[in-house]
Amino acid sequence: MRREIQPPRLLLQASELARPPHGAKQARNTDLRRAVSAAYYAVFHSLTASAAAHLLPNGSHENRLRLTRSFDHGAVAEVCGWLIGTSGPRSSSPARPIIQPLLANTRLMNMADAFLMLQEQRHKADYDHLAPFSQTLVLSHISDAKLAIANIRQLCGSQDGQAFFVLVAMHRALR
Amino acid sequence: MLTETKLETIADELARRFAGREYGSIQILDATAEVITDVNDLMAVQLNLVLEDPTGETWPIDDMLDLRRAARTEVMTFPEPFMVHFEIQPRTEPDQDEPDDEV
Repeated sequence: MRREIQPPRLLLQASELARPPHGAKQARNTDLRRAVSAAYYAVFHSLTASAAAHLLPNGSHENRLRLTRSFDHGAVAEVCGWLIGTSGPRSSSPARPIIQPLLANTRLMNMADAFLMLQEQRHKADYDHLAPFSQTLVLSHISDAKLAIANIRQLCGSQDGQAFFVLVAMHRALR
Repeated sequence: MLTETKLETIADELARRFAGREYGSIQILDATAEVITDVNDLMAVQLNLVLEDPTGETWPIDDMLDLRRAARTEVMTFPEPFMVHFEIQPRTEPDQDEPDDEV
């Protein structure tokens, strides 16, 4: 039996890991770090599933799931960076006029900002021994992930959502 | 093109601007900044913030969004764009002496 990755389950796992186990005074460091990772992946999988649904509107569920494997973490990050203004595609890129109207979309901007923040935190959680992870901070990251996923759902089917998913899918050609 | 030295100067300025600020219920008690290479191999500014402990389990999400939005707005005041990441700690740190990972 194949069981697909469910973003809500990842969020649930993150919330469980971020709290102390029975009888303990505080959450384990390893659990807090895994919680950050789960929260990030909940957002990533939610975003790629929505992008695949947009790109293959009449495709089978299985083919959409196959398509999600082709999305790259760096590509999503780069497009999010274009939106929040930390980088931009080349001046002649046809992406520029597509990006411009998206900047007024608060949901999209907040989602892009949360994606970049969670991706950086996920990297630290997995590789940086010295990065501090408190329960307070990790619960804040989980709230960010929940809101980002709610924003992704709201974007599905909207004009801005379609533009964003196309930018992510074609980012290499549009850089 | 932003050099590491230029970005270090900007990082110091950014930390100065954020020290003591409040965003809703979030109070910034201490702010420092450093230049890092982030997960996407880009040179970025990392703001290290110590925040007053939240009254609940964590800080309200709207206040955290305001804080990050403010950082984006501040970035726009500099001549060249750059990425800002945050390293946030509550005033009361977790008990480091607790052997929390013992099996």
